[in-house]
Amino acid sequence: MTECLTNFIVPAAMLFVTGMLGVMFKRNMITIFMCVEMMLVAAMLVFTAFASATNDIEGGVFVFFIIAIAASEVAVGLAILTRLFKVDDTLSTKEINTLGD
Amino acid sequence: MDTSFDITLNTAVYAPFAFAIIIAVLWKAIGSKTAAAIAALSSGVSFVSALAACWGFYKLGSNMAMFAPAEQLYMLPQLCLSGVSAPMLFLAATVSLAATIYSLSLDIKNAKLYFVLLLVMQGGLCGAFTSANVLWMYMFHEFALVPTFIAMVIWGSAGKRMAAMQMAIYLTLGALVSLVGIIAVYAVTGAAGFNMEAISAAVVSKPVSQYWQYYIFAMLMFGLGTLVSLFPFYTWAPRTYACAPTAFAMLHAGVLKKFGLFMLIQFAIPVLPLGCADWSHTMAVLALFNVIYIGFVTMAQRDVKLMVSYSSVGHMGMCFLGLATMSVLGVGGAIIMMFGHGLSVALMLMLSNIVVNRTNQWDMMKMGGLYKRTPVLAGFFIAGTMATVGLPMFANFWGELAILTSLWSFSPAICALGATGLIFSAVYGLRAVARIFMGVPSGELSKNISSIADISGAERVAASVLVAVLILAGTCPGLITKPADVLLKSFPAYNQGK
Amino acid sequence: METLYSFDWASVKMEAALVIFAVLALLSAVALPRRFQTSVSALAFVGMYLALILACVFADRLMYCAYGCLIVICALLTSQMSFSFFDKLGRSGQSRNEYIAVVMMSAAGLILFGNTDNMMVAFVALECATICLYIMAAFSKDCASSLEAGVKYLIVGGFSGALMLMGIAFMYGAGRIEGVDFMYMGNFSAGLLNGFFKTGLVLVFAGVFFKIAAFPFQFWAPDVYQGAPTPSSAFFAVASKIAGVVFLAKICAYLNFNSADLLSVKEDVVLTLSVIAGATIIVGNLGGITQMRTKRLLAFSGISNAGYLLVLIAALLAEPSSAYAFNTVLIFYLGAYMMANYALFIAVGQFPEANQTAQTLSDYRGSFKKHPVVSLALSVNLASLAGIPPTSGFFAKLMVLVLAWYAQLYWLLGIMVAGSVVSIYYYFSWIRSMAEPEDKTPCQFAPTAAAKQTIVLLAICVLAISAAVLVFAGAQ
Repeated sequence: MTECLTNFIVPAAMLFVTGMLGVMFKRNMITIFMCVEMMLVAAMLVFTAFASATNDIEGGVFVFFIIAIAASEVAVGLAILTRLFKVDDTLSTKEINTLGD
Repeated sequence: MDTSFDITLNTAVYAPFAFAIIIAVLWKAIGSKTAAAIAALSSGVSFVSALAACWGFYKLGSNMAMFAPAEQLYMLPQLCLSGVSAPMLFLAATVSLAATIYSLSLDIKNAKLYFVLLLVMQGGLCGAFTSANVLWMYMFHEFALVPTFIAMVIWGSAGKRMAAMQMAIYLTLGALVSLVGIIAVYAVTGAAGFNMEAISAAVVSKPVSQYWQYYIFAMLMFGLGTLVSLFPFYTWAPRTYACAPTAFAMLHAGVLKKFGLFMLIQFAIPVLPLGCADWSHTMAVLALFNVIYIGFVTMAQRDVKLMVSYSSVGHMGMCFLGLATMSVLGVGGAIIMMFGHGLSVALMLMLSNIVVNRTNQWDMMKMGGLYKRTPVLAGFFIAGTMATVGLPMFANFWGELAILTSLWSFSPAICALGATGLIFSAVYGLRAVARIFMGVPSGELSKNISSIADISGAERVAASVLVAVLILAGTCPGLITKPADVLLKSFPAYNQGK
Repeated sequence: METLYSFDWASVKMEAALVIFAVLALLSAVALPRRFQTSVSALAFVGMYLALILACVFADRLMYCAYGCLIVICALLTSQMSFSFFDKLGRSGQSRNEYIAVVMMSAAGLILFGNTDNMMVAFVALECATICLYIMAAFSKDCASSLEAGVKYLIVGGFSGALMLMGIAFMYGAGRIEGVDFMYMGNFSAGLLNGFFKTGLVLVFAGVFFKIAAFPFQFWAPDVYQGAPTPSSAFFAVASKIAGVVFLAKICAYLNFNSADLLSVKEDVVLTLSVIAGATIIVGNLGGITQMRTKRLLAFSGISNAGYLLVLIAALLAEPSSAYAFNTVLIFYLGAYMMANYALFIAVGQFPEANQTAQTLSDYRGSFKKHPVVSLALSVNLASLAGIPPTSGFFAKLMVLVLAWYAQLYWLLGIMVAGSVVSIYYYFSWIRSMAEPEDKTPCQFAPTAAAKQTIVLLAICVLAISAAVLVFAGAQ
């Protein structure tokens, strides 16, 4: 079971870390948002891995919850990003800094 | 306790609050003159009731319990008097009366707000000394502190922004550190409540261990020491008194500063005697810094108000020296010194403000020759200076005498060094008198000198009140020492020293 | 098997009331013409009041009821603030009603998040609430700073949600391996020996620390609070912090370190939490000192208050026997914090232009002269945040200090005292600005009658509650 688990959890962890690094270092808003989604996918993978390793269906059901939530988050997020692009004409984090001291 | 004592004590503390609420409620209806009259009435009522309460307490004689409680008024916090708090209450009432009467003679913008703040501060001061509950003491202290901050921001003189902030931060830090100390005592002794009786009972049944006493007393000493401008936490004091409006400066320097010493005498040292014994030498050394180092700084001052402020920091050093001896004589001397110094510093702040206003000068070097124009003012100023120096017939004399006597058995070296404080105060006091009043007026002053009026009616009344009480306490020190002795002898902590 | 009928609907009465009325209000706002929009707002308010009444009348567990009421009161105050905000923006009643509906749904999500015992339900509720918060942050569609705040909150919120989800995934996995259901919080003490569980718990905590703006995840708070519309900033500052702290407290109450081999784990956990609390207090207060912009100042004040609340939670962990007192102190502190903060945010919104991104402390000069009563009330609220007696903020901090002493967290106590003293500087700067005379431009601070009444009412509550505490404590 543990070998089976490791086969999935290590890639999931790598996906998660990639997503995290992407959120921290990427400049395009859409790319950052995609990296957040990547982190969510990594979590989904962990759920599925544990579910299948222990023959339990609950983890799979959770995945559906997460998909629904991710979808709503994307809907709202893209609406905000589209509006931001319309107003600011850019999607780069370097150029959007009206806030601050 | 008989009802007259209850009534007078409760009136003395809560009357200022009640009158402040009256002014606030009638805000739109009354003018500034009426507000001033209400404030004067309130201070008078408070003064008379404080006098009656203290007299009633004094008449108890040797029958008086350690703390004489008064009946609780509805839900308001309970008050009590003891040998230490009775002179402090009377001090608070006297200086409040003088400050309010002096304010009558000033021309103040937003006078209604001024008097409301003044009355709230007075109530807070009286309550801080007479509260039976330690937590309420802290709260009354804040009631007295916040009006000072607001008053400084609105009516202060130059440099008030920085001074107000510095004062607020230092004093709140000191108050918070001592609050942590109070909580520590409460937690470590497992006392039933924050009442003085509950804590004393808990300490008797389960004394605090030496380890804890060391640390908790350190917190209380440094926290309360900041409130009293102990070296090295004194830097807030001179600028505060120089920039604050005079009535508030009088109340703060004269009364609120003594609160820290009062808490140490009544609360900290009896509950934590071993801790005090551990720290007494450190306290004495820091107090010596107050006396000697600040003494030098005071002598170098040219601004008359700053000189008075620094001198008050120096005199607090003398009080701390009395506390460090932990003997009945020393602490009793500190109590008299607190009383006398409160009155004399209030007097000096008021008179120096009068001088500065009349001559439009803050620099003593640029004054001179006022004696001819303002003989009465000069008379009061010399009286105040003599009181500060410690001339017999004023209260400070007894205080300094007792403190130095007890210091001799504590440590002769420290006594000798402390006695130099007398020399410093004589030097700067007499030099100030000479520079301001004697001699020939300097250039700028001589042009305007014929237009300077002598001290006026209200100012005279205020100054006379202060001088009268100083002389009263100076000639009959027994009024203060007898109750104080009874209280101090009942605390085992104080019989360790001589 | 549970059916739709056998489900215990009474336990989610508040959330149900809020969601049903929010959906009704939203549909009506879209469907009805302009002249009905005020009635739609009234419908929304009826829903919020109904939730309050349901909670108080049918109160089963005191903690749930109190927490739910706090969040609904936050929603009520935010909705009230939104009236003047949308009037200034010149947008129609329909926009405002949509906003109020979103606030209500967010409140429902937060109440469920704080009240539930199941990690998955908590995650779903949190995400639901957070998505509504993204919408609230970006609601001023034409204002670049609002959109920027919305995007920043989106990224940070998404990141923290993903962290938390990963944590829950690991906890689920640990549960599957151990054979215990770790989705239910009551089983947490059994999991403290499992590596996956511990990693999961750390990630969940990290996600929640993002939410309450604790160190080292506090960097987003000043920007988001500054850019978002003022009613939304108030809701972020108060409601989401309350929710996050109550959730953390719940988890910590369920963590039981009683068995001997867990003592070293307890030491480590308490130490880590203390370090985070101390660092949060320091960062929050140091950041506030140099701050001149009011909304950023309130953000830093919120960060330091998150630190004080973490001190309380560390005290609970270190000394579990104080659990009963802990709940009371927590609700009291959160109530005092909510009242003072909302009064200040309402005041921030009472200026002529709708967007307060650039508002500084010097904009308040001359307020004492122009509006003495409101300025006095604001000073009382600032004093409550600073911890000056006799306001309830002082008593709240005092109780936290006492609990921290009993838990023997002495260094943390010292940092908290030092932080409180430093915070006096920036709170009193605000009071000082109000007292100073006007500069060149006249004072623009123009509170409406409703705003004045609310601010004064909040100040009176701050004092009245502390009076009640004194009477209650004195009577014992």
